Order: sequence, then structure tokens, then C-alpha cells
Amino acid sequence: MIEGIDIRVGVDLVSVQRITDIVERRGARFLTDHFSAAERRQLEAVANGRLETLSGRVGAKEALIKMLAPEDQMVPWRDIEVLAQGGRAPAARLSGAAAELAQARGLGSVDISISHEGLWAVAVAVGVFGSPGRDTKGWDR
Amino acid sequence: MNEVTRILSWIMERNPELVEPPAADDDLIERRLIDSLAFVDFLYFLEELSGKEVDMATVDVDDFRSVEAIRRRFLS
Repeated sequence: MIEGIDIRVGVDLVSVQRITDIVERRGARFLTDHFSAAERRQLEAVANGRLETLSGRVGAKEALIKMLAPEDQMVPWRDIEVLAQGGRAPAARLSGAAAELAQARGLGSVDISISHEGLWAVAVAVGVFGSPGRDTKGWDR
Repeated sequence: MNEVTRILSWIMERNPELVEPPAADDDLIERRLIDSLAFVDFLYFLEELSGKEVDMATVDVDDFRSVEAIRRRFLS
């Protein structure tokens, strides 16, 4: 640990089968309720393994929520947008309750990593935290 | 079948290891009877039961903590 830098981690393992079941039962509404238009466009562009990719995105949102460690507050998946960045690691953009919680926790920056294999997808979120409102963007890379 | 019975059936279906339904004041989250993925589906189920859309901006974790809390918040 580097003195003065608070690093926190969230991880989530997602069953691709469970996501497949939800998509089959709830269809388009599940996607529109929980994913932004940009996220849906990226998912639609996935030729092979769309459900695995979707599971990974869900995992990333959950991992980020775990990293932020809300207490009694609900953080909707919709408030965490996870987008691929052309060959680089995906990036998360926070809004609403997620952004408010991140601000309160003093989140400076966050990195996300997603992987999937077979019936499982896993995602990790690593955040660098400082004092609330403090700019720590220079610490993460 | 009333709404509470349907909620208990929903929980039992997703937790086949349960030998009996949770009590009205059992902590569903603490007992991990509704995890985050199940929660997404549960919201849709709750909307079907109540006939009303659940606005995520107006709810908190305690609204879903027990069957009784769910009944009070969404079905009364």
C-alpha cells in the first residue's frame, strides 16, 4: 500500500445462464431499464458471445457497486455505464446515485477489467480514493 | 393465491434448499434469499403483483428487507 492512497476493490462473478434466463423472460425491457443507449448499441454490435458480453457488463456494474460499498442506498445498474474503448479496458461512467456515492466516498478514478469463459463472466473494479471532492485522477496510471 | 403467498412462492422457487418459506420479518438480504441478479427479476415480479411501476429513485434497501416490508411498501 502506498501511503496516503486508498485503493479499494470490488469483484463480481456472473452466471451467463442466469443472465440468459432474465433476457429470455424480460426481453427488451431488461436492456432498456438497465443499460444506456450507448451500451445497447455496443452489445448489438457483438457478433458472437453477446450474452457473455452482457454478463460481463453486469458483472462490471456489480463490481463497481461493491467497490463503492453502499450502505442502505440502492445503486441502480443504469447509473453505471460500462463501455468498451476500442481494444483497451472498458471504462465506467457514473451518474445519479452512483455518482453521488462516488463523490461522497472520494472516488478519484476507477479501472475495470472483465473476462468471460464458458458459463461464467467475472469483473473487477479497482478504485483510487481520496478525500471527498479531491482530484486523484493523476494517481491511476 | 394472495400477493404475499405469491412472493413466498417466488422466493421458494429460487431457493430450492429452503424447507419452509421465510417468516414475514426474516431478513431476505441478510439470508441471501434475494441476491442482486434475482433482485432485478424480483422488481418486475413485484410490478406485476402491484400493477405499479417501481421507481428506483424512491426506494431503499429496507423496502425489500423482509416480506412484511415489501407488503407494507408495495402492496398495501
